[in-house]
Amino acid sequence: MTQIVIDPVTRIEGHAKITVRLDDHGDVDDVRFHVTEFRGFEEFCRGRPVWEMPGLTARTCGICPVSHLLAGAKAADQILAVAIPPAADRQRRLANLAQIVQSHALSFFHLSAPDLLLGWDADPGVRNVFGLMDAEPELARRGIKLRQFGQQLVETVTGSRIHGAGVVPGGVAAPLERDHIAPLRERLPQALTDATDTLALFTRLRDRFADEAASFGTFPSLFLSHCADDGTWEHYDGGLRVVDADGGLVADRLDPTHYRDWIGEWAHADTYLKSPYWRDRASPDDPSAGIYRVGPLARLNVCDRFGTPAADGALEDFRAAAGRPATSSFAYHEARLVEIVACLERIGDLLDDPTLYEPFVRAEAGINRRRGVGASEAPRGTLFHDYTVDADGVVTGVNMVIATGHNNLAMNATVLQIARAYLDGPDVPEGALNRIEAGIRAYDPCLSCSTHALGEMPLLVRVVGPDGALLTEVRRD
Amino acid sequence: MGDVAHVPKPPEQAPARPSAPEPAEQAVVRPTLVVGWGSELRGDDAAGRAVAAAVGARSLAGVDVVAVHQLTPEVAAMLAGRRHVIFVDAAVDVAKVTVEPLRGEPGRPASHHAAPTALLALAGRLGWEPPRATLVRVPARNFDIGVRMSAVAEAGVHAAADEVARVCAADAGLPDPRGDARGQRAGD
Repeated sequence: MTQIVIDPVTRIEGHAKITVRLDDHGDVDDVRFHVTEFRGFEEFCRGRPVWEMPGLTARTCGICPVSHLLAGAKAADQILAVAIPPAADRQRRLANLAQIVQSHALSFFHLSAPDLLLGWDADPGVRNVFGLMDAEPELARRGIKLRQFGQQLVETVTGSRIHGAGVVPGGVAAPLERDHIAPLRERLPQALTDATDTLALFTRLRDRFADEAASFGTFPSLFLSHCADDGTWEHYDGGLRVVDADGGLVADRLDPTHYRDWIGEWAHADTYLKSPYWRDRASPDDPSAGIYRVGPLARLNVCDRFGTPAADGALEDFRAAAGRPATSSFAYHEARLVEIVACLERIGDLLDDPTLYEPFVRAEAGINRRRGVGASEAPRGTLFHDYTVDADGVVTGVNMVIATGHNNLAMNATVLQIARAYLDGPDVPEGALNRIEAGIRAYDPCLSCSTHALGEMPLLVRVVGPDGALLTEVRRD
Repeated sequence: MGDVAHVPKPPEQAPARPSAPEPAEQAVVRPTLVVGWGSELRGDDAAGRAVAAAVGARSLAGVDVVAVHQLTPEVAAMLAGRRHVIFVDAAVDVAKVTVEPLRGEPGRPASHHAAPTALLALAGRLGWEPPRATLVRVPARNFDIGVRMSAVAEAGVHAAADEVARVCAADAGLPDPRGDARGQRAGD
């Protein structure tokens, strides 16, 4: 048995490595994706007042802090046993939509577009954001402006682009002023044009990616996401829906509070990233049969419609090309672009909703429950925050199931598929290295948020022989 | 000698690869932009933002102020059309406030943060680079988790805010807001 070890997988959110095992014939036998960094939020948040939890857990991530603000606040809402005012609901939704726009824009334009537009085998010296700007300056401008729009809207609602304090247990911190929103309202049509133009460009280039689409995570799995009761795409509240690889409905309108009834978490000895799995399809000793995916691809597979015109048109086009459900993880890229369009349309509807500007924004209450579960759709997928507290509201237990964790089994399966397609023996060509990285990046995991050079994910790949001896080591820093 | 050191301008370098400017944005000359960045939870790392806040509180004519956690790619869009951008950051390797001119250098841009030189290079590729950029570095000693700055950084923030105000006044053709009493400064 030959083993290839990629260590560290740097330039990702946190630290990780990849182990690729070759069999006696030199073919890829298995691949493992290990996260080697310990964050510890589930430990050090104990002993803190529950009112601090949204702000504390927002520090989990610098790219999608709004997601943790919302999940943390929703968990606290349950503990307070309150229904937040309608204006607060609108503000929270607005913040989440804005965050999805900016996060997806970052993922597509800065992290993935260099590969998609310059080629996976392009010279690494130009396969980066500067190369993209030289080749497609207008596309690069669109990406920056979309992210700027999303970030400014997040700042307007939550008080800061990163780690805002505007989302609190019981609602939000302050009413929204129309004057503060007006400049962003004026920029919305251009933002929507930028998004639809980019989506149109991608769909014109689809055929170029046929090989990658066939090898980047094309396997059957379940798909899980929030979904409105009528099947409309949902990002913030409501029940969960699960469909299988044939489009069959596995579960619908599930209350996220009871997530433990359906989702198990498998802890591995060689990684700090747990592997959630669907209990009904797996066993605690072998969760692989319970594999499911979350995030943009899952949300598009799960929903029946977006309910807004441009996004629904894009969804129809997406399904015609990728299938329903789309089972290739390569389709995450297009799904992200479709969601940007959908989010911008919904932002427009919200900004025109007078309820958004009402003055009542926070429900006040004391501790009325000892446990609360907050769930919402982060840009990368479904997020759960599960808090237990004592009678004074001091946190005694925390469980967080992050979107990237949901996709861990799928990321492992994807890297295995790519390695089998592009590796032949102990040699690791640069193009193969890049495709392994790209397979991970298709999921846009939080693991890639700390990428320090756009378009490059430092990897250390070690090829180990059947006896465990190191044969080859390839490092990209 | 004063509290501020001025670093000489480096020799002229070959310009970055010419990019396609965005005509609509470049035609409008926008005010000087002051960008202070850093974490407010890491002691002296907040110095850049503190300077930006101090400058903003002075409501200087012809000056826009931004305080951010990191220099993310979308900050590049804010540079478009500016006559001058002043970056302000904490620095461990300076003994007093340091002012130096900047040019774009591609470096290795980050997905969610970049050095100001990389940000300028990114802006330059898209036709957004301002004709003039300056980096003001505030002496910093303590980056431990916490919201309080060291005495060194606190003093540096005051000196840096004064210096930024002076530079902005010069940009606008206005008299030095500190008056004539200061006399000759190092590097003048």
